[in-house]
Amino acid sequence: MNPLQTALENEHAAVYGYGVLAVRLAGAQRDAARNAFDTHRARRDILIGLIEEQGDEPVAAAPAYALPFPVATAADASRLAAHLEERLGASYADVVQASSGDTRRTGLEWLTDAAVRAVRWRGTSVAFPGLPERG
Amino acid sequence: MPLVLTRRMVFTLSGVTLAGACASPKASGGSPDSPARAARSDAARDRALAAEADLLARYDAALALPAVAADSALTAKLTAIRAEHASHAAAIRDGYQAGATPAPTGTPSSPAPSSSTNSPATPSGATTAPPDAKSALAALIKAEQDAADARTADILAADGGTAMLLASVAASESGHAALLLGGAA
Repeated sequence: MNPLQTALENEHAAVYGYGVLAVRLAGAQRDAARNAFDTHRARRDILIGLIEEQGDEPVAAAPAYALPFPVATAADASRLAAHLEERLGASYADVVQASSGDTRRTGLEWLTDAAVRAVRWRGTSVAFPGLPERG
Repeated sequence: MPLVLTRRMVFTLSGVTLAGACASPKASGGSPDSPARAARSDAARDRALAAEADLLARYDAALALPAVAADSALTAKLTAIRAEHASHAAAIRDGYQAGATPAPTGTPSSPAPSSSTNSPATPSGATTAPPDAKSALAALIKAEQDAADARTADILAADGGTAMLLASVAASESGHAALLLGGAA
Protein backbone atom coordinates (compact mmCIF):
# COMPACT_ATOMS: atom_id res chain seq x y z
CA MET A 1 0.00 0.00 0.00
CA ASN A 2 1.15 3.53 -0.78
CA PRO A 3 2.75 4.78 2.46
CA LEU A 4 0.99 8.11 2.03
CA GLN A 5 -2.34 6.29 2.10
CA THR A 6 -1.36 4.47 5.27
CA ALA A 7 -0.28 7.77 6.78
CA LEU A 8 -3.62 9.28 5.76
CA GLU A 9 -5.55 6.47 7.39
CA ASN A 10 -3.59 7.05 10.57
CA GLU A 11 -4.20 10.79 10.39
CA HIS A 12 -7.93 10.10 10.06
CA ALA A 13 -7.70 7.89 13.13
CA ALA A 14 -5.65 10.52 14.98
CA VAL A 15 -8.20 13.25 14.28
CA TYR A 16 -10.90 10.97 15.63
CA GLY A 17 -8.78 9.88 18.58
CA TYR A 18 -7.79 13.38 19.66
CA GLY A 19 -11.42 14.43 19.44
CA VAL A 20 -12.29 11.65 21.85
CA LEU A 21 -9.41 12.08 24.24
CA ALA A 22 -9.35 15.88 24.48
CA VAL A 23 -12.48 15.91 26.62
CA ARG A 24 -10.69 13.86 29.30
CA LEU A 25 -7.97 16.47 29.69
CA ALA A 26 -7.80 19.87 31.31
CA GLY A 27 -5.60 22.92 31.20
CA ALA A 28 -2.35 22.76 29.27
CA GLN A 29 -2.93 19.15 28.32
CA ARG A 30 -6.27 19.95 26.78
CA ASP A 31 -4.67 22.80 24.89
CA ALA A 32 -2.00 20.42 23.63
CA ALA A 33 -4.66 17.94 22.52
CA ARG A 34 -6.55 20.65 20.68
CA ASN A 35 -3.35 21.81 19.03
CA ALA A 36 -2.63 18.25 17.98
CA PHE A 37 -6.18 17.85 16.67
CA ASP A 38 -5.76 20.92 14.48
CA THR A 39 -2.32 19.83 13.33
CA HIS A 40 -3.49 16.38 12.34
CA ARG A 41 -6.52 17.73 10.54
CA ALA A 42 -4.23 19.99 8.52
CA ARG A 43 -1.89 17.10 7.73
CA ARG A 44 -4.80 14.96 6.69
CA ASP A 45 -5.74 17.62 4.17
CA ILE A 46 -2.17 17.97 2.90
CA LEU A 47 -1.92 14.20 2.46
CA ILE A 48 -5.19 14.14 0.56
CA GLY A 49 -3.73 16.71 -1.81
CA LEU A 50 -0.47 14.78 -2.23
CA ILE A 51 -2.28 11.54 -2.95
CA GLU A 52 -4.58 13.20 -5.45
CA GLU A 53 -1.53 14.70 -7.16
CA GLN A 54 -0.27 11.16 -7.63
CA GLY A 55 -3.55 10.27 -9.34
CA ASP A 56 -4.77 8.09 -6.49
CA GLU A 57 -8.02 8.15 -4.61
CA PRO A 58 -7.38 9.19 -0.99
CA VAL A 59 -8.76 6.79 1.57
CA ALA A 60 -11.81 8.16 3.30
CA ALA A 61 -12.24 8.49 7.02
CA ALA A 62 -14.31 5.90 8.80
CA PRO A 63 -17.30 7.18 10.76
CA ALA A 64 -15.67 5.88 13.94
CA TYR A 65 -12.57 4.02 15.02
CA ALA A 66 -12.19 1.30 17.59
CA LEU A 67 -10.08 2.60 20.43
CA PRO A 68 -7.35 0.28 21.66
CA PHE A 69 -8.52 0.73 25.25
CA PRO A 70 -11.24 2.66 27.05
CA VAL A 71 -10.47 6.33 27.56
CA ALA A 72 -12.00 7.23 30.89
CA THR A 73 -9.29 9.24 32.61
CA ALA A 74 -6.65 11.85 31.84
CA ALA A 75 -4.01 9.14 32.08
CA ASP A 76 -5.88 7.06 29.50
CA ALA A 77 -6.12 10.11 27.29
CA SER A 78 -2.39 10.76 27.43
CA ARG A 79 -1.69 7.12 26.74
CA LEU A 80 -3.95 7.14 23.71
CA ALA A 81 -2.37 10.35 22.42
CA ALA A 82 1.09 8.80 22.73
CA HIS A 83 -0.17 5.72 20.95
CA LEU A 84 -1.63 7.75 18.09
CA GLU A 85 1.65 9.61 17.67
CA GLU A 86 3.67 6.38 17.73
CA ARG A 87 1.53 4.98 14.96
CA LEU A 88 1.92 8.13 12.92
CA GLY A 89 5.65 8.02 13.51
CA ALA A 90 5.77 4.54 12.01
CA SER A 91 3.76 5.74 9.03
CA TYR A 92 6.14 8.59 8.43
CA ALA A 93 9.22 6.42 8.83
CA ASP A 94 7.75 4.38 5.98
CA VAL A 95 7.22 7.55 3.97
CA VAL A 96 10.87 8.51 4.50
CA GLN A 97 12.02 5.11 3.33
CA ALA A 98 9.81 4.95 0.26
CA SER A 99 10.03 8.52 -1.01
CA SER A 100 12.55 11.16 -1.97
CA GLY A 101 12.83 14.92 -2.23
CA ASP A 102 10.08 17.05 -0.77
CA THR A 103 7.94 14.09 0.21
CA ARG A 104 10.81 12.55 2.16
CA ARG A 105 11.47 15.89 3.81
CA THR A 106 7.84 16.09 4.85
CA GLY A 107 8.03 12.53 6.17
CA LEU A 108 11.10 13.43 8.21
CA GLU A 109 9.48 16.55 9.65
CA TRP A 110 6.29 14.75 10.59
CA LEU A 111 8.14 11.75 12.00
CA THR A 112 10.08 14.18 14.17
CA ASP A 113 6.91 15.98 15.21
CA ALA A 114 5.23 12.70 16.11
CA ALA A 115 8.28 11.66 18.15
CA VAL A 116 8.31 14.94 20.05
CA ARG A 117 4.59 14.83 20.78
CA ALA A 118 4.85 11.21 21.89
CA VAL A 119 7.67 12.12 24.29
CA ARG A 120 5.53 14.87 25.78
CA TRP A 121 2.51 12.60 26.22
CA ARG A 122 4.57 9.72 27.57
CA GLY A 123 7.14 11.60 29.60
CA THR A 124 9.88 9.31 28.34
CA SER A 125 11.87 9.01 25.15
CA VAL A 126 12.58 6.08 22.86
CA ALA A 127 15.71 5.32 20.85
CA PHE A 128 13.95 4.58 17.54
CA PRO A 129 10.70 6.46 17.03
CA GLY A 130 8.82 5.10 14.03
CA LEU A 131 10.71 1.81 14.11
CA PRO A 132 8.83 -0.29 16.66
CA GLU A 133 10.55 -3.43 15.43
CA ARG A 134 13.75 -2.06 16.95
CA GLY A 135 11.90 -1.90 20.23
CA MET B 1 -13.21 0.06 10.88
CA PRO B 2 -10.36 -0.61 13.23
CA LEU B 3 -7.39 1.64 13.69
CA VAL B 4 -5.13 1.27 10.72
CA LEU B 5 -2.11 -0.95 10.86
CA THR B 6 1.17 -0.48 9.14
CA ARG B 7 3.47 -3.33 8.38
CA ARG B 8 5.57 -2.61 11.42
CA MET B 9 2.87 -2.03 13.94
CA VAL B 10 3.54 -4.53 16.62
CA PHE B 11 1.78 -2.84 19.45
CA THR B 12 -0.17 -5.07 21.68
CA LEU B 13 -3.06 -3.27 23.19
CA SER B 14 -5.12 -4.33 26.12
CA GLY B 15 -4.99 -7.95 25.14
CA VAL B 16 -5.68 -7.34 21.49
CA THR B 17 -2.72 -8.36 19.43
CA LEU B 18 -2.58 -6.28 16.33
CA ALA B 19 0.67 -7.68 15.01
CA GLY B 20 0.94 -9.48 11.74
CA ALA B 21 -2.43 -8.44 10.45
CA CYS B 22 -1.14 -7.06 7.23
CA ALA B 23 2.45 -7.86 6.50
CA SER B 24 3.17 -6.13 3.25
CA PRO B 25 5.52 -7.50 0.61
CA LYS B 26 8.21 -5.02 1.45
CA ALA B 27 8.31 -6.03 5.07
CA SER B 28 11.29 -8.29 4.66
CA GLY B 29 13.17 -5.68 2.73
CA GLY B 30 12.53 -3.04 5.32
CA SER B 31 15.63 -3.62 7.40
CA PRO B 32 17.23 -0.21 7.63
CA ASP B 33 20.72 -1.56 7.27
CA SER B 34 21.06 -4.34 4.83
CA PRO B 35 24.66 -5.45 5.45
CA ALA B 36 25.47 -5.95 1.79
CA ARG B 37 24.69 -2.35 1.07
CA ALA B 38 26.01 -0.87 4.27
CA ALA B 39 29.37 -2.61 4.16
CA ARG B 40 30.82 -0.03 1.80
CA SER B 41 32.12 3.29 2.97
CA ASP B 42 29.20 5.53 3.70
CA ALA B 43 29.91 9.14 4.53
CA ALA B 44 26.40 9.67 5.89
CA ARG B 45 26.85 6.87 8.42
CA ASP B 46 30.34 8.11 9.28
CA ARG B 47 28.96 11.56 10.02
CA ALA B 48 26.12 10.14 12.06
CA LEU B 49 28.55 8.00 14.05
CA ALA B 50 30.76 11.01 14.74
CA ALA B 51 27.72 12.94 15.94
CA GLU B 52 26.69 10.09 18.24
CA ALA B 53 30.22 9.88 19.65
CA ASP B 54 30.10 13.59 20.33
CA LEU B 55 26.75 13.31 22.09
CA LEU B 56 27.92 10.35 24.16
CA ALA B 57 30.94 12.37 25.28
CA ARG B 58 28.69 15.28 26.15
CA TYR B 59 26.46 13.08 28.30
CA ASP B 60 29.49 11.56 29.99
CA ALA B 61 30.78 15.02 30.76
CA ALA B 62 27.41 16.17 32.09
CA LEU B 63 26.98 13.06 34.23
CA ALA B 64 30.41 13.67 35.74
CA LEU B 65 29.45 17.13 36.95
CA PRO B 66 28.99 17.28 40.72
CA ALA B 67 25.81 19.31 40.30
CA VAL B 68 24.32 16.59 38.12
CA ALA B 69 25.59 13.69 40.20
CA ALA B 70 23.86 15.24 43.21
CA ASP B 71 20.50 15.08 41.43
CA SER B 72 19.44 11.46 41.19
CA ALA B 73 16.38 12.12 39.01
CA LEU B 74 18.43 14.09 36.52
CA THR B 75 21.17 11.48 36.58
CA ALA B 76 18.62 8.77 35.79
CA LYS B 77 17.17 10.79 32.94
CA LEU B 78 20.54 11.57 31.39
CA THR B 79 21.71 7.98 31.81
CA ALA B 80 18.61 6.74 29.98
CA ILE B 81 19.14 9.16 27.13
CA ARG B 82 22.82 8.28 26.94
CA ALA B 83 21.83 4.62 26.53
CA GLU B 84 19.61 5.58 23.61
CA HIS B 85 22.57 7.27 21.93
CA ALA B 86 24.60 4.13 22.44
CA SER B 87 21.75 2.24 20.72
CA HIS B 88 21.82 4.74 17.88
CA ALA B 89 25.53 4.24 17.37
CA ALA B 90 25.16 0.47 17.46
CA ALA B 91 22.33 0.54 14.92
CA ILE B 92 24.21 2.86 12.58
CA ARG B 93 27.31 0.69 12.86
CA ASP B 94 25.37 -2.54 12.47
CA GLY B 95 26.63 -4.37 9.41
CA TYR B 96 28.75 -1.41 8.47
CA GLN B 97 32.51 -0.99 8.57
CA ALA B 98 33.13 2.59 9.51
CA GLY B 99 35.28 4.42 7.02
CA ALA B 100 38.25 6.63 7.67
CA THR B 101 36.53 8.20 10.63
CA PRO B 102 38.32 7.57 13.90
CA ALA B 103 36.66 5.00 16.09
CA PRO B 104 33.82 6.80 17.78
CA THR B 105 34.56 5.41 21.18
CA GLY B 106 35.84 8.61 22.67
CA THR B 107 36.89 9.10 26.23
CA PRO B 108 33.88 8.08 28.25
CA SER B 109 35.48 8.84 31.57
CA SER B 110 36.98 12.24 30.89
CA PRO B 111 34.56 15.02 31.58
CA ALA B 112 36.52 17.95 30.23
CA PRO B 113 36.97 17.82 26.44
CA SER B 114 33.50 17.53 25.09
CA SER B 115 34.56 19.78 22.26
CA SER B 116 35.04 17.13 19.64
CA THR B 117 35.45 16.97 15.90
CA ASN B 118 32.41 18.71 14.50
CA SER B 119 30.98 20.69 17.33
CA PRO B 120 32.07 24.27 17.32
CA ALA B 121 28.90 25.25 19.12
CA THR B 122 29.63 24.44 22.72
CA PRO B 123 33.18 24.50 23.96
CA SER B 124 31.91 23.40 27.32
CA GLY B 125 34.34 23.37 30.17
CA ALA B 126 37.32 24.35 28.10
CA THR B 127 38.11 27.57 29.82
CA THR B 128 35.23 28.18 32.19
CA ALA B 129 34.36 26.64 35.50
CA PRO B 130 32.19 23.52 35.51
CA PRO B 131 28.65 24.62 34.70
CA ASP B 132 25.73 24.13 36.99
CA ALA B 133 23.09 21.53 36.17
CA LYS B 134 20.85 24.06 34.48
CA SER B 135 23.43 25.29 31.99
CA ALA B 136 24.66 21.74 31.39
CA LEU B 137 21.08 20.82 30.55
CA ALA B 138 20.70 23.78 28.22
CA ALA B 139 23.87 22.77 26.41
CA LEU B 140 22.61 19.20 25.99
CA ILE B 141 19.27 20.42 24.63
CA LYS B 142 21.07 22.52 22.06
CA ALA B 143 23.43 19.69 21.16
CA GLU B 144 20.52 17.28 20.64
CA GLN B 145 18.62 19.69 18.44
CA ASP B 146 21.74 20.60 16.47
CA ALA B 147 22.51 16.93 15.94
CA ALA B 148 19.00 16.26 14.68
CA ASP B 149 19.07 19.23 12.34
CA ALA B 150 22.52 18.34 11.03
CA ARG B 151 21.27 15.00 9.70
CA THR B 152 18.70 16.45 7.30
CA ALA B 153 20.85 16.67 4.17
CA ASP B 154 22.17 13.13 4.63
CA ILE B 155 18.68 11.78 5.21
CA LEU B 156 17.43 13.37 2.00
CA ALA B 157 20.36 11.96 0.00
CA ALA B 158 20.60 8.47 1.49
CA ASP B 159 19.12 5.20 0.26
CA GLY B 160 15.72 4.37 1.71
CA GLY B 161 16.88 2.08 4.51
CA THR B 162 19.65 4.36 5.71
CA ALA B 163 17.35 7.37 5.44
CA MET B 164 14.72 5.68 7.59
CA LEU B 165 17.25 4.77 10.27
CA LEU B 166 18.86 8.21 10.35
CA ALA B 167 15.43 9.88 10.34
CA SER B 168 14.43 7.83 13.36
CA VAL B 169 17.67 8.76 15.10
CA ALA B 170 17.11 12.44 14.34
CA ALA B 171 13.51 12.22 15.57
CA SER B 172 14.75 10.57 18.75
CA GLU B 173 17.19 13.41 19.30
CA SER B 174 14.47 16.00 18.88
CA GLY B 175 12.50 13.97 21.39
CA HIS B 176 15.43 14.10 23.79
CA ALA B 177 15.53 17.86 23.47
CA ALA B 178 11.80 18.00 24.25
CA LEU B 179 12.21 15.67 27.19
CA LEU B 180 15.04 17.71 28.67
CA LEU B 181 13.13 20.90 28.04
CA GLY B 182 10.18 19.51 29.95
CA GLY B 183 6.84 21.21 30.09
CA ALA B 184 3.31 20.09 29.43
CA ALA B 185 2.28 17.85 26.61
